[in-house]
Amino acid sequence: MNKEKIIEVKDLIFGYEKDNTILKCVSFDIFKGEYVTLIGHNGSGKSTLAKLLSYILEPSSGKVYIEGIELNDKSIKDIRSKIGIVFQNPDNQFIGSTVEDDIAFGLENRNIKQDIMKKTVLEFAKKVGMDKFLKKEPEELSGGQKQRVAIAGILALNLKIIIFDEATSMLDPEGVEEIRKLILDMKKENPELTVISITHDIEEAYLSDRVIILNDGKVYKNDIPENVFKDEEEMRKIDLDIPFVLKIKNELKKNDIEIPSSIRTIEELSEYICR
Amino acid sequence: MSLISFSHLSFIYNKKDPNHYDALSDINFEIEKGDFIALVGKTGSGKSTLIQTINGLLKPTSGFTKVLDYYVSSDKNVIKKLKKEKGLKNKDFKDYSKLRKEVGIVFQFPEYQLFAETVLKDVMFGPKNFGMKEEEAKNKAIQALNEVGIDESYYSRSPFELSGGEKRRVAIAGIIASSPQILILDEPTVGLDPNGKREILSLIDKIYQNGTTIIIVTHDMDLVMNHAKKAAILKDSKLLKITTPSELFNSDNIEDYSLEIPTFYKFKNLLKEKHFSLNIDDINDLPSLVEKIKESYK
Amino acid sequence: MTNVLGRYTPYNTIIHRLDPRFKLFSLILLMVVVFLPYGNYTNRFIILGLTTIFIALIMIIGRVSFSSFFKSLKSMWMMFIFLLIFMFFLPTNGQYILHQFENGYTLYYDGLLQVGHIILRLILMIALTIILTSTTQSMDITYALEWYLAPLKLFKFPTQIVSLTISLALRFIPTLLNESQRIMNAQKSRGVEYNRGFLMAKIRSITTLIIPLLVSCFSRSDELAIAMEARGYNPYNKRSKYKTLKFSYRDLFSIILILLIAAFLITFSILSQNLAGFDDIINYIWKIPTI
Repeated sequence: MNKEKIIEVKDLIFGYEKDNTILKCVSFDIFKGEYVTLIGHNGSGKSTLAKLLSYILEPSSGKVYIEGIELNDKSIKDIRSKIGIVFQNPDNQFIGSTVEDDIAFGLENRNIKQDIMKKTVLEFAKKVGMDKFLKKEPEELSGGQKQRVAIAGILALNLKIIIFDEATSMLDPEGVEEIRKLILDMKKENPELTVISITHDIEEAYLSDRVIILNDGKVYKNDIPENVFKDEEEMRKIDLDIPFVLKIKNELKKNDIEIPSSIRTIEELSEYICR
Repeated sequence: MSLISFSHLSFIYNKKDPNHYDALSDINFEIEKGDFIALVGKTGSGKSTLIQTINGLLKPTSGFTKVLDYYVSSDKNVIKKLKKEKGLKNKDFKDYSKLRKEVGIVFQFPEYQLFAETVLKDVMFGPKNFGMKEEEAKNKAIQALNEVGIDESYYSRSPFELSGGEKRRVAIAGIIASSPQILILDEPTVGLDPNGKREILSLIDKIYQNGTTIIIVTHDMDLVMNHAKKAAILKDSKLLKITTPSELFNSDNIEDYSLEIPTFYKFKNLLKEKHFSLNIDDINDLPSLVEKIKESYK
Repeated sequence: MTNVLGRYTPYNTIIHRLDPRFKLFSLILLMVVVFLPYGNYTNRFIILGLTTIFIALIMIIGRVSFSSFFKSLKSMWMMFIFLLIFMFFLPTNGQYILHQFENGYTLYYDGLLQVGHIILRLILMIALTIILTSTTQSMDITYALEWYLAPLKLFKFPTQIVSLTISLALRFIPTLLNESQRIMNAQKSRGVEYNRGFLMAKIRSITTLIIPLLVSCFSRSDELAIAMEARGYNPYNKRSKYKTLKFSYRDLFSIILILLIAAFLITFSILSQNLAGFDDIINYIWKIPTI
C-alpha cells in the first residue's frame, strides 16, 4: 500500500502495576483518510488505548507517532491541534451554554476572529443538521443531538484526525443511527479525514474501512471487516458477535451462494437477493 | 385479577404553569400477575412518567393507578370517590412506603444510586428501610448478590471501585433484595457492552421465572423481541396498543408507532418490499429466513 | 423537565432582549434601593409597596412565572418563621404596645412591622434575582460579569478564567438538578423518606443523595476538563469571543428610567435620614396618619 502513515503505534505497553499490564505490546499503523474501528469487549484494553492515543494517559513504554511526531509532553500541544475527540458522555463534553457557544468554544481557543467564527459556526451546525437549534441549551437536546454538536465543534476546527471514544454507547438507537450515518457522510465529504472509532457497535465496525480487534491487551485482528468477522465461532470466543449482514452471507456461503464483499448494508443485501 | 391497573390516567407536568405539558393522557390498561411487559415508544412519549406512578413517586393529575390494594392519585374527585367507596384515608394517598416495598424500580444508570461504604451494606439498605431486621436484611442481601452473580469477595469492597457492569449488578441487587412482587427496569442495558448486556438480560429472565412481574422500559427492540411477552406502545402521551412482540414487529403499520425496528424485521420488510419470490410472512427468526433465501436460489 | 426556580425561559420579551450588563447593573442598584432606610414605617411601606408594583410589572412584561416564584418562596417559610420568633416575640421594648400579659411580658407592634418589612425586602430581592435569571441566558450573565471585571485585568486578575468557571457552573446547574432528582427518586424507591423524621433521620437520608451526587460531580468534572483540553483550551492563551454585547437605544431608555427611579428613592432616603420633620412633610402630602 502506498499510503501515507498518519498514526503509528509502536510496541505500546501500559499498566498501573508492573506485572499487571492492561496493554501488552500493541502496534499498528493508521493511514491518511482511513476509517478504522477499534473493537473489543470491556477489559480488552480499548478504552486505555483511546486514552493513550489522545495522551490523557502516558504509556509505560512504547511510542505513538502522529504525522511522524512522537507524542510526548513537549509535542502534545501541537498534536492536540491535529486531533479532535468525541467522548462517550454527551453531557460532560458540552461546554458552552447553548449549541452555538459550544461549537464556538474550540474556535475561541484558537483566537479566530468573530465574524469568521459566526460564519463557521453556522456552516458546521448545518453540516450536522443542528442549525435550527443554535440557541438551544443542552437540557433541551437529546443525547444524539448533543453528540452532533460535539462533532460540529470538532469539524469546525478543520482537523485531520477525529477519534470517537465510544461516542454512541450512551445513546438511544435513533441517536446511534444518527451518528453512524454522520460519520459516513463526513467521510464522503472529506476523504482526507482520518477517523478512528473506538466502539462496541459491530454494525458500525462492519461499515468501516478496517477493523482492529483488541483482546486481552493485544491486537487480535487487524484487517478489512469482511475478513475480521469471517469466523463466527472464533468471534464468540472473544465475546463478540458478528454483523447481521455477514451472518446471512456466511450461512449462504455454506450452500455456495456467494455474495460480493461490497454489499454491507441490509438495503444492499435485500436488493441483491431480490434482483 | 390484575396486579396493576391504570384507569383514565393523565399526567400533566407543571399543571398551573404557562409551560405545562401533557406527559400522559387517558391511559387505560392492566398488567397481570406474572406478566413480562415492555413499554416502548420514542423518547418523550411518557414511558418514564408512567412507571413512576406505579410506586407513587408521581401521582396522576387525573385518574389513578391501582397497584395491589394501593391507589395512587392526586385527582381530588378520584380521591373523594375512593374515600367514600373503599373507606380509604387521606394518608393512603400520601404515604406509599409500604407500596414501595412491593414495587422495585431500577432506574436508568442505577449505578448512580450507590452510596454506602461497602457493597453488602448498600444492598442491605433497601431491606432495612422496609423494616427488616439486620440479620434478615443481610440474608436477603446475600441472596440477591448471589442471584446477580456477585460473589463473597466483593462484599466488603467499596461499590465505587467496581467496573461499570459490576456496579449495575450491585445496584440491581439492591432492589431485588427487598423481594418486590413487581420489578420495573428503565433502560437496563444502556451503556453496557454486549457481554454485560447478555448478563443483565439473563438475570432479568431468571427473576421473571421466579414469579416476579417484570415491566421494562426500553428502546432496545431486540430485547423486546427476545425477552418480553407483551409490549405496550406509547406515542405522544397516549397508549396506542398492547400486543405481543412478534405481532408488533409484523404489523403493517409499525412505521406509525415511530419505533426503532429490530434489524431482522427491517431486513424482512425490505425483502417483502422488493418482492422476494417466496412467502415469508410467518417467519420470525433468522435461521428460517436464511433457509427461505437458500430455497429461493434453487 | 421540572420547572426549576429561576431557570431561563426562552421567550422574546423586551426584558429578555435588554443588554445583560444593564440587567445586572439594575439588579444590583434595585437591591440596594430596596435595602435603604426610608424613615418611619409608613414611608417604608409606601416606598416598598411602590417598588413591589414596579417589580411585579417587570415580571409581567418579562413573562416571569408567578407560580414558580411563589413556589420558590414556599421553601423559605422556615426562615420567615424564625424571623418572626426573633423579632416579634423576643424584643422587650418598643413604642407601640400590642398586648400586655399579666406576668408583665409585653408584645409590641414594632416587632411585627419590622418582620413584615424584612420579609418584604427579602421577597423583593428574590424576585429581582429570578427576573434576571429567567430572562437572561447564563452565558450572557457571564459575558456581563466578564465585562465588569475587565478593568481588573490591569492588576493581573484572571478575569477570563473566573468568568469561564462561572459560566460552567451555571451551565451545569440544571444538569445537576435533574441528576439529584433522579437519585432521589431511586433512593425513595429503596424506602428513603426525605421529608420525614427529625434532624438525625434527615441527615441520614440526605447522605444517600449527597454521596452519589458528589461521586458523579467528580467524574463529570474530570471528563469535562479532559474535553476542554482536547478542544485546545489553555487558560493562559488569548481567546477570541464568539459574542460581544451590543448596547442599543432600548437599553439607554431603560437605564435612564432605572436611574431616575433610583435617584428619587436615594434622595428620599437621604432626606428621611437627615432632614428633621421630613416624615411629617411626606405624610402631609400623602395624607396618611403616621404609625
